Amino acid sequence: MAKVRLENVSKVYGDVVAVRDIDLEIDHNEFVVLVGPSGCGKSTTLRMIAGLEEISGGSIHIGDRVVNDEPPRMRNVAMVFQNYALYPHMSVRENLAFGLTLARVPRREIDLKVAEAADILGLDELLDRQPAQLSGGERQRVAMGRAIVRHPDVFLFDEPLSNLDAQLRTQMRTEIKRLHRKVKTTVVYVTHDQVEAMTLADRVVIMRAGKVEQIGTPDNIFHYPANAFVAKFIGSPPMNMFDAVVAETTDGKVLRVDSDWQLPVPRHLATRVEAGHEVVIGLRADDITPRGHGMPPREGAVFESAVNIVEPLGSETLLFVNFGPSETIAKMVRPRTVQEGETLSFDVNLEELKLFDRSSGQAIERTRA
Amino acid sequence: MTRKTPWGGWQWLVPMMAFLLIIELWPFLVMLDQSVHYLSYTQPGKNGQFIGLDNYRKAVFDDDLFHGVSVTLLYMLIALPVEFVAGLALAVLISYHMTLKRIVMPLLLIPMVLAPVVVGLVARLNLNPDFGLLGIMLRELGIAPEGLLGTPFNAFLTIVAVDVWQWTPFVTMIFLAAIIGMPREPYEAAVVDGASRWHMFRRITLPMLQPIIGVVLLLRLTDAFKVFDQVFIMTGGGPGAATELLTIFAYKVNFAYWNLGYGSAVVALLFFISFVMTFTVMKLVNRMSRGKA
Repeated sequence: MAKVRLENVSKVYGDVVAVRDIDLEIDHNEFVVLVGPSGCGKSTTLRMIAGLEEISGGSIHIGDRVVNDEPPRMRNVAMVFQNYALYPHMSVRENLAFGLTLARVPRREIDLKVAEAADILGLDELLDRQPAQLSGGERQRVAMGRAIVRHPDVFLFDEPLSNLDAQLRTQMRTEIKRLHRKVKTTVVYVTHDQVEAMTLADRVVIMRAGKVEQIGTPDNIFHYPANAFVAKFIGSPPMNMFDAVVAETTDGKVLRVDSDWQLPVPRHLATRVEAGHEVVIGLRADDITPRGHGMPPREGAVFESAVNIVEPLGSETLLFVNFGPSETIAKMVRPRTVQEGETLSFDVNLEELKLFDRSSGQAIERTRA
Repeated sequence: MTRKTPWGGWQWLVPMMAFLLIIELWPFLVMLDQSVHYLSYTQPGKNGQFIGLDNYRKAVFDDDLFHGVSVTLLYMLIALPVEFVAGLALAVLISYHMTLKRIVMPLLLIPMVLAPVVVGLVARLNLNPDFGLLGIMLRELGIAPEGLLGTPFNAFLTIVAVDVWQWTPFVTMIFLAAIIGMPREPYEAAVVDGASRWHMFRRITLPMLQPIIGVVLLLRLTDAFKVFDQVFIMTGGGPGAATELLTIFAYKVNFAYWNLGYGSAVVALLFFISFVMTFTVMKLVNRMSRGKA
């Protein structure tokens, strides 16, 4: 239980800036997920909090201490690694007890804490096994147990689910969430998987190329992406993006994709753009729906297209359709069978349309309703 | 894929097996045969006489042979632990400073690639108190006026030291390779868990090295047991019999005293001891590494 604060933290390897001036404040018991494509500096940031990497600039606070120059063992953090990092020659019990033994905790107390952690994670049956005899999921639970027994101020997770198969990953995800409810500790969690980030986090930190792109609640980030990168990174399927230019017509402002393909500028953005503005249109598949499937939007546009590719997912079906000069993904909820080549009409929900400035990539903020 | 190989493929093994039989087994059998006959150049009249296990009986009660066994054991008992401790320490040290590796590795290789005879000659010439560089220096300093190989105690320590000099790098290299090959994550986990360098060595590196330690022990034991050339060149077993290893004793019986019947029995015993030792250690090593699946 501690606040973690990063102030202007950066990491430089020779000429390469891995992390650039990160500011981040994490609250007591908050679950914060750092997410981004590989090489974005998220793991480096985590390792700097752990003390496994020295920081090149700025300062890191845990609780009310500045820990810049403290070795990892003085920071009272616990870390769970991607490939579990269990001690291969020790039994599960010894793995769990290792940190406590080093801290010279009395034997009786160690037994108690190990039993407690084993109980929380359902490891009782496995205590006398060797790591080699465990499945991936079990190893991951032992790795978490090793972190729990120490009652650390901060839990650090470095892509803990990446080595598990898809089904187990979903299951462990829920377990991690449940664990956080139970042990109530500040958590910093690194992943490249946006679904993991969205489902686990109280707040998500999206990083790219060593910089923070946006910090916010999952909801906030999904609905109000700060820029085109975040918009494209969060959500599945990724947001559809089209280049367009704002033009003034007799019917008002329009977003001209090409000479014969345009959308009206939605009301919430009308005062934000002027004719000639080069923008990027962002539309999620959820907001391009075949007529008759779901409510028609309050403010919408309609277009017709043949279906190029059909991807049924069960509860919904993704349709790849032509949207003017480019292709877009539409989503059909409560789907019926669709033939490839079939022509359908689609509603575009203009209320959820996003605009980004093409040169800066920054979102063009909507007017408050 | 069940194509039948005629004769189960054994025919391909025949040449190699025949070769091994001729150069390994045949001389061994000849030796065993000699060991139960009288064969010596001192009393040619009795040569060829079958004497049963007389040679073995004599060997078992031979004080000189017992002395050889003692010298060999003492030699191994001092040299091997020193090589292990020094080799491991060096390996760990180098692993902390990997930039050193490029400089240190070639240096480590030098003693290993030298032929034992060369090692022996270099040591002997250098240690000579009259014209050897080291020998003169030691004499001038008053440390060993009669040369390091000149007194029984010094000579014994010197042959042990040369063994340590030649073989510590081997131990270092194997341990270093093993340490470099170890996964990095357990160490990072240990750092976060609060382990000091000593803890990490004691609780992680050492246990993870255990199987390798067993193998190196086996290699070094068998090797040290049959050391001959470098010691023979340096001291010839002397002064007196201070450095007369079992192998040197066996050599002397056969090719200095030309007592080939008795010599064969001695060599057979040497073989037996080395066989039992290797086998025991191998079992131990196997059990050790099986315990840690």
